[in-house]
Amino acid sequence: MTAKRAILLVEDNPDDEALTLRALRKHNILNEVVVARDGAEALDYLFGTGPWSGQGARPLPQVVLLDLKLPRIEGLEVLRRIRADEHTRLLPVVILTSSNEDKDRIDGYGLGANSYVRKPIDFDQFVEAVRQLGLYWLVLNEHPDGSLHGI
Amino acid sequence: MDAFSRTEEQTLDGLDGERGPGVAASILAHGEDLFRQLLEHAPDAILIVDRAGEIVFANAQAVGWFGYPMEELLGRPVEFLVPDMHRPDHRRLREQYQAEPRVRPMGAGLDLHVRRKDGSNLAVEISLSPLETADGLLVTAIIRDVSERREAETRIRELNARLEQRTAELEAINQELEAFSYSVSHDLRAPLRAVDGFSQALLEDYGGQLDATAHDYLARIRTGSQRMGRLIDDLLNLSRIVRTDLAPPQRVDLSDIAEGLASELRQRDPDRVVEFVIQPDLCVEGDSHLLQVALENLLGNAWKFTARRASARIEFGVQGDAENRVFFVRDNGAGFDMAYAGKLFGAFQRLHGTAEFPGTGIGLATVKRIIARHGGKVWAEGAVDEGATVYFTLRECGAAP
Repeated sequence: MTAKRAILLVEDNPDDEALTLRALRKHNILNEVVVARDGAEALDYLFGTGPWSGQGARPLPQVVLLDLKLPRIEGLEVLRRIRADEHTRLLPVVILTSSNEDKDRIDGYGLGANSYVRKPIDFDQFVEAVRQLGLYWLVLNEHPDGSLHGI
Repeated sequence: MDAFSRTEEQTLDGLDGERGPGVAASILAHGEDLFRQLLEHAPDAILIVDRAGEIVFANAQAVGWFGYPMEELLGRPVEFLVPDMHRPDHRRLREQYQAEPRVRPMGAGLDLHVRRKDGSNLAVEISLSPLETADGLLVTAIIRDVSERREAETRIRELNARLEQRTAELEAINQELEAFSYSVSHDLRAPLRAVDGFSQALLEDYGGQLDATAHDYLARIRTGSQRMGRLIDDLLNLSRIVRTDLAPPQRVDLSDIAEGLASELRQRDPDRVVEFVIQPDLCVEGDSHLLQVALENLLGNAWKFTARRASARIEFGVQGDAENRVFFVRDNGAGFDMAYAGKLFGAFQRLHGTAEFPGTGIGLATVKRIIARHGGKVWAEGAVDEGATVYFTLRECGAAP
């Protein structure tokens, strides 16, 4: 089994970041989680620019968990740039936000988001949302009895 | 106009009556009198001005409207009737007209005024026509009082401007509301996630070190934050109902919707014994999604408030004669005190404790907005422990608009 690729979490709220990291850890998700705290950091990581320049070719993350309301460059713009670049246009992007506005949904899907998950206030739902991102093969390992294990 | 001009020309030439036999001749014989009468009784003011710009004729309306006696009009330069600020231009424009005379309105598209003797201005329209005579070019000015029309136009313009301003204000308010809802949906939710999430983390990761009271407190924190989350959701849903445009009206089978909702409620809570009495084929015109939401709230309420009835009964139907058809959802549940009937449809108004019956108090407010957006009315009747009936009106299929 080769090393798992990273998960890029783009999240500016430290509480949500901590809860997300805990949820991943709790479910034995062993992927490295790279946290970008705004849209610009996320783009630097993905395109190897800024602080990430000159570090040679890195594999793309397995998936990007993308919040919408972000400082500097907002989430939808990050998504637009990911889809516009040949290198990243097929990268799985899951919009992860507290917004339940139809407009965000429509814009998100319109720009090619793979999935749209509302950050639930209920923590159980939050864990379930992460589990349901459709990343069973790449992130989660689920046994027939329903329990989760790291690969 | 040609005929008129010719007649006038002939009159002013000193018509000799030799030009036509019979009636025409007789008319012409009395030409000048007829012509004068015609001018005198014209509904418009009429002035005739000579080459030098002096008034050579004025009719009764001109005297009446402008406030000068006839002798003060005749022989004076027509410019003295022009408001001060336009007087120099008028002389120049009059000379231009005399160089190129034809029938046309004066100052087309401009708001023209005549200055009256008392110094006030009269809003007018003026049409000009040239008369070639032996004495040289005369110009007839037919002057129409348009002050009422122009005032009406001004009023309409003002009303329009006010309406546009009001619309702009409302649009701005709507946008603010939208931004507010958006920020509520994002920003209020984040701290709640932290409260609930870290309480859960404490329970899971350090639960062993906490006693029963600590567990109870944490459970209360979670219940509170989750309830606030639901309140935010409900509030946003309510505001969304106000903000989104209604779909074009379509036929909606309310009975179908009610049947579907009844079976959903039964599935969700299979242990309860509830009799649903749903009148078939109740068809209205409206937005099917919103009407579904309204019925969901009404039947959901009826379901909730009959929870303590051994034999609960929920009815949906229509009553009244053809003129006054009223839909209703009736239950035999907890009911309410009519003294508080006015509070029922306000947002976050609850007549029962949350421990008794759960809820955020937004359901009937939502129903009211949906029915109101369809042009209907909604009200309720009930008595404590005797059930409640919510009545509402909607446009039935095939009814006159």
